[in-house]
Amino acid sequence: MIEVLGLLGLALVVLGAILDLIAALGLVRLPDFYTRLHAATIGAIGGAAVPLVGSALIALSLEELGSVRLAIFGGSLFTSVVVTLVAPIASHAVARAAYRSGEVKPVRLLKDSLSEKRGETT
Amino acid sequence: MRLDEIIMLYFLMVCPIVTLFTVIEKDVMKAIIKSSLQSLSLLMILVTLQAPELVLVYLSIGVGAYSILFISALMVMRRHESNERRAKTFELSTGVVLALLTFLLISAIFVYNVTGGSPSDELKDLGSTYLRIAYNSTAKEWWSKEQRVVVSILWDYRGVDTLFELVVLSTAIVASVASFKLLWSRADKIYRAELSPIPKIGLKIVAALVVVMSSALLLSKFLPGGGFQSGIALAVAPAMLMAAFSGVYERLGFTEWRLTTALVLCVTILAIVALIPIALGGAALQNQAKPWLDFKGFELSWGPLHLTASIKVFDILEAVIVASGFSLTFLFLLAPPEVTVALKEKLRWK
Repeated sequence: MIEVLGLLGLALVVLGAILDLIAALGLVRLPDFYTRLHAATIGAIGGAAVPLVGSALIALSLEELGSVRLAIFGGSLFTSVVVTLVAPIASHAVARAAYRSGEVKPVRLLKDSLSEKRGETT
Repeated sequence: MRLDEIIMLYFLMVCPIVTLFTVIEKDVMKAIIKSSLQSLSLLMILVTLQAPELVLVYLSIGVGAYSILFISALMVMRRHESNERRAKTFELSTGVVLALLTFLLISAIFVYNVTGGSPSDELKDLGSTYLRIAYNSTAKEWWSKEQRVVVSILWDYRGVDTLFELVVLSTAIVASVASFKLLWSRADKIYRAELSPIPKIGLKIVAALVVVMSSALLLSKFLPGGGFQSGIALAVAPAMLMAAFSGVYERLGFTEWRLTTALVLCVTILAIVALIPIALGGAALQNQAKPWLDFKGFELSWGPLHLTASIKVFDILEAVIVASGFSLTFLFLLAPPEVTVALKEKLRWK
């Protein structure tokens, strides 16, 4: 059981590394700001929150650490929760600021419902 | 008399003489050069005292950065140039200072092996002494009843030092807020934008988590931490909320009056708690009982919790002081642009 926890944790860390690589490739290859933001969020959630859950499980599996492993487990899990909450907020705020300030023109959009709505109201 | 003592004495005599010449010098440029000479002689004293890290810092800041900044400020003041030239001078001097600092930092890597190599396994005498006495319930003569040795060093063995640092920090924050206050027009009239509901609600949840985390840093026996770390972590919550609610953060209760009051009140309570043992026949900042003093030490236990007496009180107060001080700083850093423009105009720096 304990070994399974450790292996699961390692798998999550490896998954996080792969997702980070995908995010980095996306940042380089994707064409414009909004799609790149999508890739950056993959890096934040998949590349940070997922491996942190993995490290929590690995810490839980290391029985020789004694009660310290619980502290590492709690810290990792807590940080993972905070990252999961903060990363979408941050990307939302960045996207909103970019759209509303007009710095980034949404030229590649097929349909822009937000501008239609704003156009109607203002 | 050894050679290094002779060198130290020589520079100890040179230093005040150069300082005197610096003060009575009429030409500002020559005064700057003499001031850097004085810094150099202080540097030599530090070399004889075998404090290489201090020498490095003092060399970069005292001799390098200060002189260059003074000289560039002098050039800006003296010559009546167009704004463009002035900006160029400023950029040039900033670049030189940054290059110097970068060079010193890189040289530190090679000279002191800052990044390479792990710290040695050998425990120094001082470290082993602290580890032996800090939580040793069989020999309570010097113990501090605190499991986190770093916290016990900060408050039990070097309490005056920490107290002094806290007073310096809070005085600096209150003083800068007081001087900023002269330029701070009540910003109620000025329009300030808020973020959308998603960050506002999300950051409220995260702020609650931050409070939990900082209290864990403050109270847990396992997590490395203490008052200062906990206070810094706690200060993140108001900073986030102020950014999200930039239009109405005063509605959340973070007014400069309340934060300043919390700061000053906590410093005062801290000083009183530090002085209570004297009234009871002990020493200032005393925590546990000592055989040669009348005061029998603080004993705090709330139900099942056996707290480490005055160290815990000091830690909590320190956390509040640091958190409110930094929140106060954020409050003024988030001043609306109109205030910042007024400040820049007063300083004539555009």
